[in-house]
Amino acid sequence: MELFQLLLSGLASGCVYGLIALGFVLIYKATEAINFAQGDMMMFGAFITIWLTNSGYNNLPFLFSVPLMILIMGAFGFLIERIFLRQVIGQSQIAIAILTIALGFVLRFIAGAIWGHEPHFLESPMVGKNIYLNGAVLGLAEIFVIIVTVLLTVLLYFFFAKTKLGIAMVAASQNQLAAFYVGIPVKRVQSLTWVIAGILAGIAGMLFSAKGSVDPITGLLGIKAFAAAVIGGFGSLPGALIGGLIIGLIEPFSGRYLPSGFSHLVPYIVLVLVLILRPHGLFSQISHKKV
Amino acid sequence: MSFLSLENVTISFGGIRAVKNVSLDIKEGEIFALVGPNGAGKSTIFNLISRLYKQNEGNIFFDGKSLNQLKPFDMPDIGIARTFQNIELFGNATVLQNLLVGTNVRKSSNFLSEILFTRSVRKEEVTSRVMVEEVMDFLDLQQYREKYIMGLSYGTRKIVELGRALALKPKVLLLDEPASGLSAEETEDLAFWIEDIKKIMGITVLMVEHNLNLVNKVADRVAALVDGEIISVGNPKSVQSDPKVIEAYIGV
Amino acid sequence: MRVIFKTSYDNDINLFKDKIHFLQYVFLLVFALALPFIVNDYYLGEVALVLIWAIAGMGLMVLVGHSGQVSLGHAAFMAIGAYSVVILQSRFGLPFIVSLPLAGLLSSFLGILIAVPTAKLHGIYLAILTLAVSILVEDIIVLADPLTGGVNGIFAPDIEIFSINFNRYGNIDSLYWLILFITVVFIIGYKNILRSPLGRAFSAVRDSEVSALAMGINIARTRTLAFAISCFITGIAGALFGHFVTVFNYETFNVVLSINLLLMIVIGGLGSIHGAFFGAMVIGFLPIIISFCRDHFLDDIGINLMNFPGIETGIFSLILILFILFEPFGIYGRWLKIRTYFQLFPLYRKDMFKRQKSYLKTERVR
Repeated sequence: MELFQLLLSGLASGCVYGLIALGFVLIYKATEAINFAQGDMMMFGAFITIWLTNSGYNNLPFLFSVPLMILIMGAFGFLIERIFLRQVIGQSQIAIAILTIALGFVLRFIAGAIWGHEPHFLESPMVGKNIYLNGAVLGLAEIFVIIVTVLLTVLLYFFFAKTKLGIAMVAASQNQLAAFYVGIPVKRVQSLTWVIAGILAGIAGMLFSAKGSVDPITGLLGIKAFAAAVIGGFGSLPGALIGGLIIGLIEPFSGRYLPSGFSHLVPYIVLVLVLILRPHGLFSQISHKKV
Repeated sequence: MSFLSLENVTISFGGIRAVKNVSLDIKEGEIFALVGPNGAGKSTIFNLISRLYKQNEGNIFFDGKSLNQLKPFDMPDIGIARTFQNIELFGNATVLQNLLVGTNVRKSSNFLSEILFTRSVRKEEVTSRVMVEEVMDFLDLQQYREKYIMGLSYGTRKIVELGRALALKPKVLLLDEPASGLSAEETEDLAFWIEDIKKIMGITVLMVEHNLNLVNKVADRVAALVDGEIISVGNPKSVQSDPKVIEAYIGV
Repeated sequence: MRVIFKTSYDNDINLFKDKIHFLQYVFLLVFALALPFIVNDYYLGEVALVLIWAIAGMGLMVLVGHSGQVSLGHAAFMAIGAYSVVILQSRFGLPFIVSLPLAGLLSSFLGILIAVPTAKLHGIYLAILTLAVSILVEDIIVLADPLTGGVNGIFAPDIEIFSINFNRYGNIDSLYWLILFITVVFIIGYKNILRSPLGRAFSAVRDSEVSALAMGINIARTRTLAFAISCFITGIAGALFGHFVTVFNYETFNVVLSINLLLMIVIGGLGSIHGAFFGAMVIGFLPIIISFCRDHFLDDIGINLMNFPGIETGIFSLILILFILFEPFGIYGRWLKIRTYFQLFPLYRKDMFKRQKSYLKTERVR
């Protein structure tokens, strides 16, 4: 039954990675920018959930604080796009990447200044509750994480495949200039993308804090989510989720079966190998330039 | 013997045959133009000759040697230079630096001597610069010498790209739509330059061009390409009066 | 405005445009050489550190600024340099003068090892890969405990060249001069690259791969060479850094340092040697300025910076954000504008350096 437990914890952390990776890919698809701050936005979302929910802070009921957090994180994503990203439209990918790296550092600093550097735990209704199944102990929090991720994925799928707005976003992601000419409000689409990315980061943060401790450097987790996004090919939403699950599953199993110290390396080795062997991931979107 | 030749060359992209069984013979010292509607495969032929694409079938020969096994960056070595349809200059460098890149292929120094900037590297630099200045004089580029590409007009960039290809001292020059985007006067100048490139420098020119005035003025021979197939070859007049060509352009 | 009449091709090739330009740099060098007699040991140490950052920055600049490949993992190469220079001296008994270049070569070797299989990786993908490499190297240092001292770290011995001792605490003056000498050597080498075919090949690969190919440049080879040179320089910087701090462990060269190195050269201004130095000054002097502010007026108004650990990185990142928003060409770009303003006075127009704004052309197509 140990196997089942490893599987569950792997899937649960894989969901969090997948959701962060989803944020990366979403922003990349819509704006061609890579948001290196997505991991730190996740950390911020986690802290906001804790700040709203925990008895030491605002002590709001969990079911009330989560929608509030989603609202705050959506507005947060909107503001980041408005204040920073809109200024650099048209600059090189690298300049924008560096901008978001710096934003991540600033977020980390702000979180540290407000909430300190000690680990925080979310006092969610699931805390410490377990389900006993055939002798296996399954954390309720982990099951919660998986269920929420599945629901969110279905929601996103319908948004991008069925709604007019979602389709406009996909179009704008293919070619900004062309989308602009056919009358898609590219800037508004970009704002919306950041709102959704902020919300995704918030939910990922909430889920992460529901099953573990959070401190300002939790955002570095974003690097593992990169691995997930790269495995998924950086252009595919389902790819990002699958990549997240792969990375999530690798961790507990390599931790169990490899000598200590080595398990930590495995996600990064996988990342390096994927980049070398299948440079554009398993679901490539790169085509060659016509001259 | 032919100078640059394609023998039954075919290439497909995902089931679409962009170039079908094309054979061409370009003689040394002539100006040869490829004409045809968009999507006829003209640029594809250029990309095949410069090895950016590899043909599925057929052979390409230059100066008696097969190009099949060569890489794109081998082309300047054997004497083939090209320009691009949508200018591909080094944007964050000056005109002079762009042209000097063309002299890289003739350098004999290795990177260590370049880091130390030995006497022989300096000597080679001077010879390179003498040559590049000649090209700049030829194309009237002196006034833009130290200007960055980003700040130049479209027409000037086109000329700089031509100059950069000339700095390679090629035997064959492939010009991909050299007159597109140029003003009437600039096209006029271009026509003289292309003729001088042939007469004074002795360089064979293969060009893709939509501007039929320019083609009529400079080309010795023309091939009309439609849907990846050559439908007519000959002097500019005869190709333009060929009923098949007229049909492809006007008919249907 | 100064007008230069060029009378020979050497005018274009020489390192200095004319006598005035030459004298400016001679003056700067004399000032740098005389610095130990001007400032006290503490500030001299800080300047030496800035020079080390500048060397590391030059290394990264070769790669990012001139050949257009972004590395988010250069702390790994500093680590290789620092660890190997110490291990070569303490384990293999080699003298410093031999182990320093060897440390650079080892770091260069790792760079080639990364560059060769990733020849086809572009922009952001390469950045992510190097980021992963930086984390891997950090972990491998911990795992290679017997050689590297693991979590506890490693002590760097005093530098000895021909029985002259260079020690940060004993005689910082000579250590500073040694670092200055190496800095000057690297600047000259870098300048030489920029004016030779190699430098042009780098910028060709950076600006347009397809036309670099058409100009006969072997892209894979050029990129690998850029990596090798970049990692050599950064490795040497790491080795000097190791000797400077005298004791270090895996955390000294963590991924945050990697990122900071990149941010540093972006603040300084990508694509110029000046940029590496400006960036190094920001990263080196910012903590001093912050602690100065703390001691002199923030305490008086009741703000205690001790409550905000990591404030250097926070402020540094904020500065960087402001630069990207308002001056994408960094401090060097701003400097050029100010200089042009005075040279053309009163003819300078406000929009002289204005860029055209447009939507991004897709980079998904190569």
